[in-house]
Amino acid sequence: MLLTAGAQTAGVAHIAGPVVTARAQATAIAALSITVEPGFHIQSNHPKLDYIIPSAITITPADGISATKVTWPPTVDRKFSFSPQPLAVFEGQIKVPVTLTTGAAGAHVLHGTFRYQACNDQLCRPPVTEPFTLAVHVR
Amino acid sequence: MEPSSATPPARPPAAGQPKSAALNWIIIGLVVIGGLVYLAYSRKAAAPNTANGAVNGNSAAILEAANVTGRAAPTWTLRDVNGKPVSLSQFAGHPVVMDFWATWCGPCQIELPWWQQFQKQYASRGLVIVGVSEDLNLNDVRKYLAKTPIDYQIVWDGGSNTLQNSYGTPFGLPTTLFIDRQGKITERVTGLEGKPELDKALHAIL
Repeated sequence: MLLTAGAQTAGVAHIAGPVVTARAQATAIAALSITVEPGFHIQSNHPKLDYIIPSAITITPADGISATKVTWPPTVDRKFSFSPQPLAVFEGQIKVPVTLTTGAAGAHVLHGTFRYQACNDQLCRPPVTEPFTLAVHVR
Repeated sequence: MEPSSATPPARPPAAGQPKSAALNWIIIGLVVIGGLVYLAYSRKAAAPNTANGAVNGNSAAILEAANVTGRAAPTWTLRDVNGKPVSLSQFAGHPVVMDFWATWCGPCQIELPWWQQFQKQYASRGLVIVGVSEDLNLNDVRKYLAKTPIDYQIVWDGGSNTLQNSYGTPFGLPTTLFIDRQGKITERVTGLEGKPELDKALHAIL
């Protein structure tokens, strides 16, 4: 299976995928890379406070291929000038392994979205939903 | 041992240096004058007609992102969380603070109690504070206000940032605009500021 994620352009965080090969009717791990611009953070996938918009990755199943699990890495607890309590956030570069179940052999494209909301110590940016694609080549 | 330094040692004066120094100053002067002429021209060319600018959700006089101070505040009509129309024009003659915020914005939530306090503190001087919610969903604002009541005017930007963009506001919350009694924007602040700094900006419009 060949797996790549399309390049992202907008916002202060970017998502990209590796090239992965796998067999048909099997599982494969696609380790997506998220890069957050220095000085900014994006929110946890399970934020501690209810008003915070969680980070999320969704991948639409296609051609018998589907994402069965998105494994976010541990967050970092950070204290900011605006938060009395530390917030659980992602910063810098993180890897997000996504478990895929494959179908029949062939070249396929999955479409996904990466939703996040970024802040720094002084301000917040509006939530962003970035589309991305996964090129999947199943042998 | 000589101390190390990243700065090269000063050269001894060379013959004819006064002339070259004078030439350098002339060149610097010409560059500065050229820059000022260019700036004046480009500002004039880019200045929008904001005198009758109207914002009604989708149409607006767009203010330059980097240069909103000193401009007439484009008028607008939005709805509050109960659906009642609110217009900037109804506050004509009052000093107005427009605070762009969102329920998901942590820094904004630090400022909200300050605005409540300022509203009470300067009510006798006619101050009007309008919180412009940039939330995508009106229900999120309603839920937030049910938990955390705010006693100044809150309007919703329709989930589209239209008003925010029309005021030349860059992507970033909180952003606050200070509008004087003549309807002119005196200052725009983006990002969490200290309460004393906001109070100082308020005093300029009271």
